[in-house]
Amino acid sequence: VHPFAELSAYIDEALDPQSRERVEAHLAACAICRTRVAELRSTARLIAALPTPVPARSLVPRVSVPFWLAPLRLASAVASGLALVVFVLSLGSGVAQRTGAPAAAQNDRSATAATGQPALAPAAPAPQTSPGAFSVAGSTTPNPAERTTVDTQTQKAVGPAGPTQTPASGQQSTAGPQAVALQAPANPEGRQSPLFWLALAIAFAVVAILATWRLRAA
Amino acid sequence: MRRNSEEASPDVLDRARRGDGRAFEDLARAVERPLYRHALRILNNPSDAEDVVQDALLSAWKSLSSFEGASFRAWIFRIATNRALDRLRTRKRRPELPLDPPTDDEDVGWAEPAAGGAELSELVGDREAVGLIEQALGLLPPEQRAALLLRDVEGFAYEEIASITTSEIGTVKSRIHRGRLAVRNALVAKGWKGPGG
Repeated sequence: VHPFAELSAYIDEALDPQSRERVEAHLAACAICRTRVAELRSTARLIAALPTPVPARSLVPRVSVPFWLAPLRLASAVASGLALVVFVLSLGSGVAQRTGAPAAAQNDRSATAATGQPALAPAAPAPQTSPGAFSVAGSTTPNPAERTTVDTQTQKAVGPAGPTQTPASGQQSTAGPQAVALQAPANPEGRQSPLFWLALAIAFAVVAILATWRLRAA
Repeated sequence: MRRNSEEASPDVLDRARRGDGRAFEDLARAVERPLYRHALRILNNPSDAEDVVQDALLSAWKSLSSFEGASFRAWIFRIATNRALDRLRTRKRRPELPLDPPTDDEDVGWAEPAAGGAELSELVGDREAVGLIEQALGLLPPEQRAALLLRDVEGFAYEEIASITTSEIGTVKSRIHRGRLAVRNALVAKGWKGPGG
């Protein structure tokens, strides 16, 4: 009886010693099986020699993260929290100052009151600009609070103004009512707008969230 | 055939297991192409093969901490082979696919070579032969094809193939033999003869 079914395993050295000896003894006496072994071996070599296709794109998932990402996430989260605390505190102090100086918009001190006012007070007086103040267009929501923010950062105080006041001509306002002030230098008394702190808190929070997302993806 | 150097270094594997993403990317790069050629020959579709390999590597990364086997290469081939076969089964349920391939139980006879053909050993690199072999492989039942490729192309031992495909060693032996015989017969049917003439 020819051990045909054993021949591939014989070629692959996958037979136990007993079976191997039996097949070897048979092969020594059987030309048919020797031919088959030779052909199966050639077939295995042909399959092994098939060209290796190359993928059109990298298939290795990007799982490594830069070493600074985790510290960045922590620092951003902490900074965001701190900025939020400062925002709340400056909001409180701004209200206090505004109630103590209702006519402040008429003179230079208006800046103090205006920059300290709550963001959602639409009837705020237009404040004085700070030299070098800049705005960045970042929102498409033309709500009064944002317009007030723009005014706060870019306009000179010309007297009490409503929320719909447009930027005075001659000012280098870089944005219309759709702008959001992201940063403004300190006003003459060294104060920042509460919205500056709020924006800072949001920006740090976004960085922390992005870092978290990237760390999770890994 | 596989060389020993293709097995992952224990140091890199250890670092990857402890969560070092760069070490894992090194491991993945070393097996990316073998996995792709394996998946492609099982699925016969480059886009599906790419998806399967990428999924398998990502899944390996997520469960690497639980990997305790001796061979990372066998482990990742197990994941990729299973996914490729699963993908094939899903595809099979779609109506546009033609006839089922022959089943694993189908008997494969021994075709006699025709006179005047080239010897099998002369066919390496022959473009027509490559096409024929790939066509013959494509006609094998998927599990048979996977076992034969794991043996002849990737060089795994029968025990490893049994583990990769979750099969008995006797089944592996039978699949490899039938698959190899079917490829040999496909070549012989085209006029080639074996080395014995």
